[in-house]
Amino acid sequence: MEHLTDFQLMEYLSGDAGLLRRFLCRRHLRRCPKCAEQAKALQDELEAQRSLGAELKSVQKLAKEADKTMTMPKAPVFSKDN
Amino acid sequence: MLSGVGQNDPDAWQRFYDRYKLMVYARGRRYGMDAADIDDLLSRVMSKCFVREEGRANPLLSYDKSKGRFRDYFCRIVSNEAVTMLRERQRRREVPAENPEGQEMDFADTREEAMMQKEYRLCLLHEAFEAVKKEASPRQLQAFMAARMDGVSPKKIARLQNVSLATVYNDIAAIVESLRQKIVFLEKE
Repeated sequence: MEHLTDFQLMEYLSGDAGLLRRFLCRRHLRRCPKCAEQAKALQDELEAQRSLGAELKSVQKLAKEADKTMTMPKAPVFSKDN
Repeated sequence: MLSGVGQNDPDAWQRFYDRYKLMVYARGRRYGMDAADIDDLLSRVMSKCFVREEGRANPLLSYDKSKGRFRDYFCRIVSNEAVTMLRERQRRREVPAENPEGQEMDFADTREEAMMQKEYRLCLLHEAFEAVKKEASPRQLQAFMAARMDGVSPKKIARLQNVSLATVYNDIAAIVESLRQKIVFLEKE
């Protein structure tokens, strides 16, 4: 049995595969433990990437707010008159 | 970076500020502070971080390496100063009584510790992403931001960028990999 490539699995997991490919992929994954294992690993990676993206989105928002609100203080190490 | 800050390096100071400002800001916001209070919190934190020494024009970092990681030390200062500010305000009856954060704040507890770690991670992520943005190709960056931050499907991105779907997957993976490497590097720094 020919195994699915990482690209095919990514296409399937990301929802980018067409109807027929989705069907074939699903059928293959039911029968092939090796590909099912790889699909699980890629699924975990996808979820990790999505959660990284969500974190970054909130960080970008926070940083924008901080830049609007905060003023960078003078570096204490440079202020000789302190 | 820390040794750079101690050696009058303006770039190191800028990086120090860029890395830790978010931690101060996030904490200030969590405690319901306004812009002026957050600025006040920042100057209090900075004045705790640096000590003046007789005969030296330049103040020194008050951090003692033997007492653990700088980030933990910094987090403790931010927490302590934020709590002190809130207590002062409570004494002056400026904090509304229903503010739960103002009533019960124990930075030794695990909830507080977890929050500090989360705030530190935000700082690292921000710094890592800013660094990656400078190095990555605009196409890779656009693919990553659209797919992972805005939820656009890779198929649509491929169409918009006029590249193959495999290229989009590779571009996203490349940015994620760079981000992870930067985070590991910054963690060690």
